[in-house]
Order: sequence, then structure tokens, then C-alpha cells
Amino acid sequence: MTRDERISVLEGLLEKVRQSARDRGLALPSDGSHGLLRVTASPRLELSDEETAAPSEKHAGLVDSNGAPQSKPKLLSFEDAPSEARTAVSSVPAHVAIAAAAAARGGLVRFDGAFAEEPTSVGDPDQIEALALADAHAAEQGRDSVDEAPDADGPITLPPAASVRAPEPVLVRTSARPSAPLALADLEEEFGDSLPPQPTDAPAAPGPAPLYPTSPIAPPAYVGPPMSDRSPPMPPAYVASPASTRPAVAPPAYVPPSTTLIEPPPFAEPSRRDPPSTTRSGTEPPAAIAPPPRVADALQEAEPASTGYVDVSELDVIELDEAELIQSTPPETSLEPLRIPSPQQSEEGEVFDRPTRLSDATGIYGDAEADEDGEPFDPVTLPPSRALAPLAEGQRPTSEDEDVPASERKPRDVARPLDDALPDVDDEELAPESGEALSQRYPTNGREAARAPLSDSPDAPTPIPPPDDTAEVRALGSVDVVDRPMVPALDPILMTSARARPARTFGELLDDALSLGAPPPSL
Amino acid sequence: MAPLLAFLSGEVDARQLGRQLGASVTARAGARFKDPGMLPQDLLRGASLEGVVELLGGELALLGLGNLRVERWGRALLFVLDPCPLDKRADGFLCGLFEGALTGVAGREVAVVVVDRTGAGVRLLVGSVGAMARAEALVNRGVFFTEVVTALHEEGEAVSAP
Repeated sequence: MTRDERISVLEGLLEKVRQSARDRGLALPSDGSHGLLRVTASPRLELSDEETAAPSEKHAGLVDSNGAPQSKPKLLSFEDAPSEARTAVSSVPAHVAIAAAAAARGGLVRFDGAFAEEPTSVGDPDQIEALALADAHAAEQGRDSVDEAPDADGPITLPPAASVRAPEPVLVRTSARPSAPLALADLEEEFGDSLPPQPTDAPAAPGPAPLYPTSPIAPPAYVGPPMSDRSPPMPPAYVASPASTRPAVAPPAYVPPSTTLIEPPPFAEPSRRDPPSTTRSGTEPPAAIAPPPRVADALQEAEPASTGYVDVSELDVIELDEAELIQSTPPETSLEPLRIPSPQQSEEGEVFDRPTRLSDATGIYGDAEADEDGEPFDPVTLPPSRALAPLAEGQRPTSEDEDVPASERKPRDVARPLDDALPDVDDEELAPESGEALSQRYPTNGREAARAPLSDSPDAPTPIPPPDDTAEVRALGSVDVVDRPMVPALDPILMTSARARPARTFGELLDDALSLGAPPPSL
Repeated sequence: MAPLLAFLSGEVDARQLGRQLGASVTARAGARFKDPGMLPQDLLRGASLEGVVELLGGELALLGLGNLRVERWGRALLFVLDPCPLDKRADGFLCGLFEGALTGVAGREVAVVVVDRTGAGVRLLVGSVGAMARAEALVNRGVFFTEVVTALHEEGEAVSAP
């Protein structure tokens, strides 16, 4: 395939690309400039004598499909761009001009490499089409960025730097091998020296930004759903893709939920916290614990305010929530004098063998038997802050409040009507006037009812007859015991007599039977 | 065999047939005493009540008439067949049977009346002909056999009192 044939093939493919781009709604920068490829490429390709020498020596195997030696690829300079593009570049900022130049330069074909290595050299329509679409998209981005006239996509406005968000990746799908993306860095390297000076009246560029955040061939990076606690957006960066960039309102900076920090009152901050394992909640009834006698003697000599016996009762155990901690006041630091139980008092049942450790302010106590290190608790060594004074009188919770936790307490309903307060209601129930039945509200004694005076009224109830008091009730202890004299032993006289029964034969018995109903024959 | 044929021919009734069988039963029971010098009726008369019941009961059992038991209610003498294979329709035959057996022993006319049938047993009262006629009249009126016996005893005392 000769060079002209290739170009013709490319032209045909380019037409197909344009048609496909139009169908997809893409605008190609080279619309209306057919033959651009031919114009930009052919005049600048000048082959020297060395390049026309033996291909095996100079061109390192750059041979076309027909075996003809290929020319060494030559990079195009900025002046090689078409005149339209150069005009546009001179009036726009540099970063926009770079993109525009890249687009106007005929992004479909880049002559920065060996022409024989281009995918178009093999004549694969799919590859060429893919490349053309990618470059067309890049060119469209560059064109839109410099086009100040409103087009079909709407007015092109450069959003403020603060409101520009990162562009979404644009994916150009190709079924052939991926093409190299056209990046701004490449253009700067290529046209770094030939770029015109940046106009002073142009707005300051917010900074370099890639035309494509990601490769157009590569799949887009997964962007998760918007989250409320998402980190604040990156610093605004200008993206030369106004058509696809919508002015978006920057999400508000993440503000952590306001938390009201309730600082405990000073008295709630214990000076020395008890170990967690030795601190108990106040659910168990405290026991009156006093130091043993030998310890009590030592306590008498010690300072009473620092080590004192505190009569811990169940009322001293308080559960305070945060609100109560805030509103409550520190207890008085005055301590009651030490009360040393007498030995007799100890023998009467009070337990004084183990002291009780109390937390400093909350009244939560712990016993000494749960000490972590297992050492016996010595109240003498108890620091002054550990010795607690009983709560003030006003701070003592009542037993009613102590039955249920503070969170479950209910205010007493004093507005509830009481039956006792009803006026004109007599508590005493009158007896029914019919007289047939007594009051069933209160049981009445029949004896009392019988003793009640009879009424003169004819409608008075029938009096109950007095109970029958005929039964005599005697206690078992009053039973009379009568001692009788012993009966003398007398032998009874037995009168016995017997008469022999005569043996009677069957004949005689039969005669007696035949005489039945007739006078006996013996008479 | 002759009494049976006479009964079958209708010349004699069941009571007569029973009397003929009773007489033969007494003859066979007396023959068991092994005393050839005396008549069987005399041997049974001089025998004890238990001995007579044993011999007579044996002969009736051989005839298939059941077990024999003797009850004495005062002077009254009652023979009981318990159980008795014959029903009420054979009462004449049973009465004739005991009349034929005891007539030879008593030496005079003996009458027997069925006074009670309770379950499978049958109770027969032995007496004179006049007394048994009155007793039968009482039974037909539904008087219980004890009252019949009592009535017979009262009649004898009333007759002998004046």
C-alpha cells in the first residue's frame, strides 16, 4: 500500500469517524476542513539524502508493508499547526491554547512517532476509528474551552475556582488497542518554547490541570456515593472541560456533630480514683463497718478529721446522673468526729472488723475485701481525702426516692381527685329500710343487732332473735374425776345343765312332718 | 320302662310317672344297706337323716335330677334339689317322685308340694295330704314358703289347743 493509498484510506476512515461523532453528538474541531491531514503532514516531510539511503542501515527496519523504506518520523512544531489554531491560541491563555493547538493540530493523527508504527499503517479500521474518536473527544474538549460563543451546549463560562469540582472521567470506549491520551504535559513539552506569552489581561490560571483525570481508555475509577462525612473536596482546580463541567455548589465542609461536653463539677472529679475493681455501685446495702479495736486505738491518736468512722447507711448511697452532677453542689467538707465503737457494741452484732472505703464525693463505697493486691485495708493509712463525711441533710435522698432509680422516678400526681374529698357523701351506710337484709358493706354482729333498741316505726326491720345460749362450754381442765372404791373379787357361780338329744330316725322325722297341720299324735 | 310307656301312651300323667320312679329309687337305696332280711323301706326308716339323704341323693343324682339337700323348719321337712335341671313344667313329676319314694318309708299316704323356686333350686314340702292342699293354696296366692310353714305349724297348734 502506497502512501497515497493509506492517506485515502485514512480519509475514508476519518469520514466515518466524523459521521460517527456527529451521530453521537460530538463536534469535531476539524469539521469543514477536509484535507487537513494531507495538508499538515505531507508538506513537512522532507527526506534527506541520508534518510533515503539503505533502510537497513539508517532507519533501523522502518519499512512499510510493501518493503519500501519509511521515513524517520519527525515531530511537528507549533508552527506546523494550522492557521486557525494558531490564531486561536494567540488570544487565549496558554493552557487553553495548548489544548486548542493539540485539537487543531489534527489530533487524529500524530506524527510524533514512526508512521509505520501507527495503527493506521496496518489499515485496521477499528483501531483507526478508536484513535480518531479519542482524539476527537480531546479536540472537542480543547475547542469548547476556547470557544466563547454560545453553542449548543450553552454558554461557556469558567466557573469560579472555588466552585469547580473535579471532572468526572470521560471514557472513550475502543475495541482496539488503546491509544495514548493527549495530556497537557505532553503538549507543554512539545510546545514549551513556541508557546506565546501569556496575556496579562487574561485571568490567572488556577493551575495546571489534566485534561483527563484518568485515561480515557481505562475504566473510570469508582466513585462512591456521596457521603455526609466525606472529606472536604480538594482545592479547586480548573478543568478545561466546561461543556461537561456543571457549576456545582461545593458541599459544605464537614462539621462534626456538635457535642455538648459536660464537664463534671469539681467535686465529681475525685482526687484519687479508686481502682475500678474495688469500686462498687451503690446497689448493695452498706454495712456499718468500724475499725477493729486495735485500729481504733490508733485512730484516737490520729487526726480525727482525716481518719474517721463514717456511719454509712443506705441513704448515703447516691446515684447521680450528669444533670444532677451539674446542678449539685459539693458536699461540705466538715467531718463528723470519729465514733469509736465500744467492745460491747462490737459484741452485740455490729461488724467492725472490716473498714469501708468510700469514694470521695459520690458516696459510692467499696469494701476492703475486694482489694486488688489482697492486702488488708488499713484505715489508718487512708488519706484524708478518702475519708468521707456523711452527706448534708438536704442532700440525703429520701427512702422513697431511693427505691427506684432516678431515671425511673415519676412525679407524684397530686392532682388526682380523691374520693374522700367528695362532698355530701356520708361514709356510714344506712341500713336498708326494707328490713329484710342488713348492710352488706360492714359485717354486723347479731348480738349487737339484737341489743339495738327497737324502733317504733312500723317499717323498722325485724329484730334478730338473741342467740341461743343453751350450750354449756366447759374447759377440759374443769372435768370432775370421781374415785370409786375397788370392787372385791368374787367368784361367779355358774349354773350349767344339759339334756341329751334323742337320736331320731328318718322315719320319726318323717312322721313329724306328716303330722304338720294336724294335732300332734302324742296328745 | 312300663311306667314310661304308660306315660307316653297317655294312660298316666307325669305325677304318676314320678311316683313309680320314686318307689324304684327307694328300693335301690334300701338295697345298699346290705341287709337282705329287711325291706328297703324299713331300712330307710330306721336310718338316720344323714344316711337317707346320702343314699337317696345318690340315686337322684344318677337319674340326673341334681343334688339333694334336706331342710328342717320346725317339724316341717323340706327336700331341696339344687340345682334342678327341670323347670316349672316338671313340678308334678318331681312331686310324684318324692311321694313315691317316701310313701313306702312312711307307711301311709304322703303329699309333696313345690313351695319355692329360687334360681335353679326347687324346694319341696312334705306333709299330709290335707295340709299340703292348704299349703298349695297358700303358694298359689303368692305366700312365701316360710309363711306357709308357719301357717301349718299354727294350724296344728290351734287344733290341739282346745
